[in-house]
Amino acid sequence: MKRLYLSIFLLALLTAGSIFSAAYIGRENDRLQELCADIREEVLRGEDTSEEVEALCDEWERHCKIMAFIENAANISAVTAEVARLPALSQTNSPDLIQQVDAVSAQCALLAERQYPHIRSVL
Amino acid sequence: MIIVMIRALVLYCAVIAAVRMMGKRQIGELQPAELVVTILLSNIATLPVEDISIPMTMGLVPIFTLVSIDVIVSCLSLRFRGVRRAVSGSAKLIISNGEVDRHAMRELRFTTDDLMAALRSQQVFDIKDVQFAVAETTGTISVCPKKSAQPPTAADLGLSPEESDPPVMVISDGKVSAAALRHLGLDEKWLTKIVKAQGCQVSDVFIMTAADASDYTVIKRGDMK
Repeated sequence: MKRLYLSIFLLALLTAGSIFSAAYIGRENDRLQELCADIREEVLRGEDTSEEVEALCDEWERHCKIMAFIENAANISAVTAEVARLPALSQTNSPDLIQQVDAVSAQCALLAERQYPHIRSVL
Repeated sequence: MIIVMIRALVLYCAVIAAVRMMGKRQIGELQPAELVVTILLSNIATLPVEDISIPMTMGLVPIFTLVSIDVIVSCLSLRFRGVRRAVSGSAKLIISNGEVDRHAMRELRFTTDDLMAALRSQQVFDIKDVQFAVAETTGTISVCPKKSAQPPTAADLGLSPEESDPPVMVISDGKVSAAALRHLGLDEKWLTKIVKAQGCQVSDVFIMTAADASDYTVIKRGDMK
C-alpha cells in the first residue's frame, strides 16, 4: 500500500510539474513574442530599439536557464545564438533586424509549442 | 566528463529507487508488464547519460512515470481480475491428464521442442510421466508429474516427521543478526553462551545458523581453508 501511495503521489507530482512547465513556457513565450512585436513596431517607426532588444536579451537569458531543465540543449543554444546577434543589429540599425527578430520569435514559438501535447508532437 | 559521471550516478540512484519501488516481484520472474517496464527503463536511463544535451529531467520523468504506472497497474491487478488478465494474461494448461493439448500449444506458439526442453528443465525426461503441465504468465512451465513418477513422500511411507522451519543465519561474517534472533525467539545471552562454548567470540565466527536453541551450526573463521 505504501508503494501505491508513493506512486500516486509521484504521478500527481509529475503531472503537476508537466502542466506547470507547459504553463510557464507558454507565459514566457507570450512575453518574448510581445517584446519581438515591440521591436518590429519600433523598427517600422524608425525609433531606437536598443532598450527593447536589451529587454528581450535579458528575458531570454532568464528563460533559457529554466528551459535547460526541460528542453534539449541544442535547441536552446540555437535560439541563444540568434538572440545574441540582436544587439549588434540594433546598434547599427541594420535592415536585417526585423528578419532576425522574426527568426527568434519563430524559434521561441516552436520551443513553446513542443511542450504542448498535439497529435503531431505525441506521435 | 565529470558531468557524465554525475549524471550516471544520479540515474543509477534513480533506477535503483525505481526498481526498489517496483518491489521484489521485479527482481524475480517478470510478468509481461514488468518486462516492458524493465526494458524501457534500461533504455531511457542510458540516453541522458550518453548525451549531455538531453536534460536530466527527460530521463527522470519517464522513469518515475513508468514505475508509478507499473505499481498502480499491479495494485489494480491485485484487486480486479479483469485488469490482471488484460495485463498479465492467464496460465494455460498444455498437458492435461497426461494428454498434450495441441490447440493450446499452437495458441502459445509452443513447439514440441520447447515443451520437451521445459519438461527437462523440471527434471522430467519422459512425457508420459506428466499428469499436467501449465504455461504460466511469466512464460515458465510448471509440471506436475504423475503419482507413479513422483518420489515417495514421508506421508507415502507412513512417516510423520516433525515440522520445523529451516535454519536461519544468526551470525554472518562476525555480525549478529538481531532479526534472526528475534525470529527464533532467542537472545544475545544465548548466543554469547553458545559462541563461548565453541571457544571463540562473536567476531571470530564466520557463519552461524540456527533452527532453534539446540539445533545450530557454527563455522569459525579458523575452520576455513
